[in-house]
Amino acid sequence: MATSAGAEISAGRRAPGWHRRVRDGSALLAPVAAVLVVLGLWELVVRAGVISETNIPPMTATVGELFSQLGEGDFWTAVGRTLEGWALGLGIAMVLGIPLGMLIGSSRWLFRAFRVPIEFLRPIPSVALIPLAVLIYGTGLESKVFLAAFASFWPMLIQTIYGVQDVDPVATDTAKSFGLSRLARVRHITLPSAVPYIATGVRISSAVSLILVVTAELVIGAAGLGREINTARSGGNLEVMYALILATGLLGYVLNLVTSAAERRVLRWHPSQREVAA
Amino acid sequence: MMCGGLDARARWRRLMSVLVAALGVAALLAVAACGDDDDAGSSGGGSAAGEVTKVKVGVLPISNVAPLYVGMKKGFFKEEGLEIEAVPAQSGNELVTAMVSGDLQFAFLGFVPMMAAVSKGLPLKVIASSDTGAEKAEDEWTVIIVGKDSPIRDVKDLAGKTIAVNALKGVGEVAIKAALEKRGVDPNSIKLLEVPFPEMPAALQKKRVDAIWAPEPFLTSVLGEGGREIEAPLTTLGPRYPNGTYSTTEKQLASDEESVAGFTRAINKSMEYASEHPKEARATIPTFSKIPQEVADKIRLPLWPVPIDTAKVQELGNYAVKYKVIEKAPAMEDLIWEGATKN
Repeated sequence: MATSAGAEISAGRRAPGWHRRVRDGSALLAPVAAVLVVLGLWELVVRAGVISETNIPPMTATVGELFSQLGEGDFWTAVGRTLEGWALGLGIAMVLGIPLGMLIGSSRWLFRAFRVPIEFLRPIPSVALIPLAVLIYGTGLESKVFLAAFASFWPMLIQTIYGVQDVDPVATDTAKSFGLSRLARVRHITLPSAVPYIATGVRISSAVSLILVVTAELVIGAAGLGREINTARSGGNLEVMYALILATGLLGYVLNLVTSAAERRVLRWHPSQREVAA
Repeated sequence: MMCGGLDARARWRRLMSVLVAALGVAALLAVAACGDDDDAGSSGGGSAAGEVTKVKVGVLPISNVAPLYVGMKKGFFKEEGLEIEAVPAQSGNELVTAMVSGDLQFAFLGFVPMMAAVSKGLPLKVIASSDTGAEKAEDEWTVIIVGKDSPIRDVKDLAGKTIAVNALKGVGEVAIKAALEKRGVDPNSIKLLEVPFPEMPAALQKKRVDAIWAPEPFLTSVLGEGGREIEAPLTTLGPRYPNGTYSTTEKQLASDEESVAGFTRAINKSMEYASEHPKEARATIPTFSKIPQEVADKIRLPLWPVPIDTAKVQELGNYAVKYKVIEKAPAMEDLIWEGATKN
C-alpha cells in the first residue's frame, strides 16, 4: 500500500486524504489492541486469584461500575469540580508563567538573576505545601487551585523561557536591520518562535495541574474526583474506588487530547506540522 | 518562514494573546468570585430571629455521623434556624486545623483529639456527645480481630503481638492499652503499627500485623471471610464508653452562642431519633459514604446516647495521660461547654 501511495504522489497526483486515512487506521489498531490486552490481563490475574479479589475487584466489575457511575449526577458534579480546579490552576500558571517567562527569557541578566530561585523553588513538591495551603486557604477550591497553580507554573515558565531563548539570532538581527521596533520584534519574531515551546508547556502544565488537583482532593478533601475516591476507600467500596481511579485516568487522557488538538490548531502554520512534501 | 503568510501568523498571534488575556481575566474573576462565596458562607455569626444561619460542620465519612444526616433530612436543624453544610474531611487533625482557622463552625471530633487540643490551649469546646461504644462486646463496632488462620485464640495471646491502629497516639492506642491492662495483658508488650483503616484487611491478609483494630465496614467484611473477634476494647472499659463529640470553637460561642445552642438541641434530637429509628439511620449511610446499602444494613452501628458521661470522659482522659497519648487531661469545665447535656 505504501508503494502505491508513493507511486501516486510521485506521479504528481496528491492523495493526502487517502494517505492519512490509511496511516490513521493502522495507527489506531495498535493502541486499542494494547488497551484490550491490559484489560484482559487484569481480569485474568484477579479471576485466577493471583491478586485477591478483596484487594482489587475484577476488571469487568470495575468497568461495569464505571459505566453506572457515568449515569450518576454526583459523579459529574465531582468531575465538574475537578475540571474547575484544573482550569483555574492551568489558567493562573499560564497568566503568570507566559509573561514572566518571556520577560526572563529575553534578558540575559534577568535569566542569570532568577536562575537560582527558580531551580530552588521548582523541585519543591506541591504536596509538601499541603499543610501551608490548608492553613492559608482552608480545604476548598482555593487550596486546590493554589497547589495546582504552583506546580504547573514551573513547566510553563521554563518552557516559555526556553522558547524565547531559542529564537533564531539571524532572524532577530534581520528584523533589527529592517528597523522593526522592540514590540514589533516580539510580535513577529519572538512569539512565533516561542509559541511551539509555550504550547508544549501548556500540555505539560495541563497534566501537572490535573494531577495536583486530584491529589489535593484526595489528601485535603476538597470536592472533586479525588475526594470521591477517598470516600469510596474509607467505605471499603473497592469497585467504586477503582472505577473512579479509571475515570481520573480517562479524564487526563481526554484533557490531553484537547490540549494536543488545540496545540495542532494554533501551530498549523509551523514547519513542524507540515506533511513531508513530495 | 520569513516571506509570505505574515498576515496569517499575525492573526494567529493576536488570537493567542486574546485567548490568554481572556483566560487570565476569567481566572482572576473566578478566584475573586469563589473567594467572596467562601467568606459569605463561613461567617455563620449573628443571625436575627427568623433568619437562617449557614454553618459548616466537619465530618468523617463513617457511620458514626449518621444522626447528623438523619437530623438534616428530618428538618431538625432547620427548626433551629440552621442550614448545615456537611464538609467531609480525611482525619481528626484536619478537622482541628479547619476549626481553628475558622473554616468550620462545628465538627465531629473524637474525645481524645479534643482533649489533646484543649490541653494544648486550642480554643475548642465539646458541645455534645456524638457516639459511644456498645453495651456488650458482641455489638462493639471497632474490635481487635484476627484472620481465619491466626494462632491467636484469646486476648491473652495478644501479648507481644503487633496490632494495627489507624493512628498512633489516638483513641485506638488509649483504648487498646487500657483494655489489655484491665484484662491482665501487659500493654507495653504489644507493638502498634499505624495502618489506615481501609488498608487494614490487606495488612492482616499479608501478615504484616498479627491483629487489627478495625471499625465498620471493614469489621464485618473481615468477619465475613472467617476472621475472629478477640477483644472489644471500649466495651471492656465500660458499657457505652465515650468515643466522639460534636465540638465548636470559642469564637463561634462568643459571636453566636444562639447558633451553638440551636445546633446542640438539634443534634441531640437527631441522635434520639436515630437511636429509635435505626433503619432510617442506615438509609442515610450510602448518601455520605460510598458504603452500599446492602453493607450499611449489615454493619454494627455505634450507640447515640445524648448525655455526656463526664465520669467516663474523665477516666478516658486519665488513661490517655497514663499511656502518654496526651500530656495532661483538661478539666471537664474547660473541655465541655456549660450548655451541653451531661449526666
